[in-house]
Amino acid sequence: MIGFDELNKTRKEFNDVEVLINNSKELKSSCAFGHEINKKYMQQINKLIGKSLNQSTKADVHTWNFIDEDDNSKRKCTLEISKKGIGATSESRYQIETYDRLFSAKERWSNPSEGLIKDVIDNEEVFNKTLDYLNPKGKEIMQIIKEVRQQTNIIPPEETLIQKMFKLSKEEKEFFKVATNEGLIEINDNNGRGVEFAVSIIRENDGVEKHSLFSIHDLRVDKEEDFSYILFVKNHKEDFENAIKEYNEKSKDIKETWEKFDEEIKQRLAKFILLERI
Amino acid sequence: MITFKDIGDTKIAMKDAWDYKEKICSIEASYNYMDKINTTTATQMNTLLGRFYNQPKKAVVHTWIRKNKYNANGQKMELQMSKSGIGATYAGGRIDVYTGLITKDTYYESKGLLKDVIEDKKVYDKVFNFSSEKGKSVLKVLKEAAEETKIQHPESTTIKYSLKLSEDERECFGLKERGILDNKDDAYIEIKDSYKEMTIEVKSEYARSINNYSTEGLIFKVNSLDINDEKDFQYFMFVHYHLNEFENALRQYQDSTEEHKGRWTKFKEIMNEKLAKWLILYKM
Repeated sequence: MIGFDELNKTRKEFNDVEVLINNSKELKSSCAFGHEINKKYMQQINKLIGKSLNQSTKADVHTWNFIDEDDNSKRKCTLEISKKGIGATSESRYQIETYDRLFSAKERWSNPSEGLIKDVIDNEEVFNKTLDYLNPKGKEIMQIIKEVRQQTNIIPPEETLIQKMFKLSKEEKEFFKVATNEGLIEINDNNGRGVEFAVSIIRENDGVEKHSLFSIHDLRVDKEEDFSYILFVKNHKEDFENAIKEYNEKSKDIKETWEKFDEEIKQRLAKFILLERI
Repeated sequence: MITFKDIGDTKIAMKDAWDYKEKICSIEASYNYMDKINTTTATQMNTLLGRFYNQPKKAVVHTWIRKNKYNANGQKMELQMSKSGIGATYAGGRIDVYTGLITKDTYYESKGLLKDVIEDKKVYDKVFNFSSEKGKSVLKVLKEAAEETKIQHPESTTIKYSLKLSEDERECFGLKERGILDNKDDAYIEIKDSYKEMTIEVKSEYARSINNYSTEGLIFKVNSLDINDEKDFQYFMFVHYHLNEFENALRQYQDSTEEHKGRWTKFKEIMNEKLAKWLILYKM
């Protein structure tokens, strides 16, 4: 039978777990970073393209049909350029709806578009048509976007999900009432609040239902209710550190690609953006 | 450094704390026990006095003026009887039968059937006149039982039992980090029965968990502990190490409610015995 003195002594050995908790709070979401850049530049590009339109009224650059997946009906969609910018508008809408993302998920009801890059930059025919409606400055801007896109190979901001199974000791299994011999560490950055870092198990009597045991960054070393979770993290510290490492490695590529895109485009569009402000 | 094996062994070794938790969950709150007799008997009385009411229509048995600061002239009040039972209401209003023998009804400012009727000779005699022989007999049984047992309003009971924490417990529950070094009354066990259940909580004015009004100073509630919940492990340990104090606090609660509760038990026995034939007849 242990006493409170032993609990306190053990708690004093939790420094390494405290460091791990703090590190987990520092994890950056590549997905969120990508989303930020994805949105930020589109606003600037709309301004620049809008200013570069070579005619006084709105231009219909390209039209195509898309199929509404809900009722299989066909609808006409038009790529338009106006003083406001560039965007794809379906026939049910009257006003130009400028792109708000470089990459965007296809929306069935409003814009059946996938963003400026997929719809325009990556489509040779549409790209050339677009150039026809722009002045030399606009053409140069479009060329820059195309070059930077090809050079960096950016892909839509994607979530990074790390899932690592780890073995439980007999005592842990018994204490946490776990049905299997394993637990699951999950790191996921597909969340506006930041990176989620949690441990799940399948409880006895819960069938195959996954039960979230605790979230690493919510743990507090000085909270008596968290004691057994912290002890658990300590026992599996290596598994947790490996998961962090794997997350950092996996999300690094996405993040670096977007960072590179950010740097390149910032540098190459700088003169236009500056001029715009003047 | 302890291990999960130590924790698992400790869990088994503190079976006494699990038993204590199970025991306290099965104890009925004294307040609830008394209140149940109070309201059940009033319902029985309404049924019986209604059945044994000797008029074909509702009657105003007694009137009085209730004065308050909002109404200088006072509000005319009536004690009414009908086939539904007996109750106090505003003059001309629908009968609102008594819901308790002894109540603190702030709406009609009535004090229940016992205080308003049985203990007021003048009103009691008036009610008597509106009841058949059987009704008179029921009223007498109620009057005698109340006089014999001297039942009082079911009051809630709160017991506070001081706890002295060990240095390690003080550290574990965050009192030390708050600069509370050696205080005689570090924490206390609070037993309350104001609601349906009797609750046992461990509180401390220095507790870390002071975060909002409803849980002010609460460290944990014994009733809510679950041996299968890993978060409760240290609270069970606490109960185990302070089991004597928890048992003493519970005894103190039971002692302090015993007399009050005993009166109601006796009252219930007398009423059941003397009114048995009617209670059975009317399936109450």
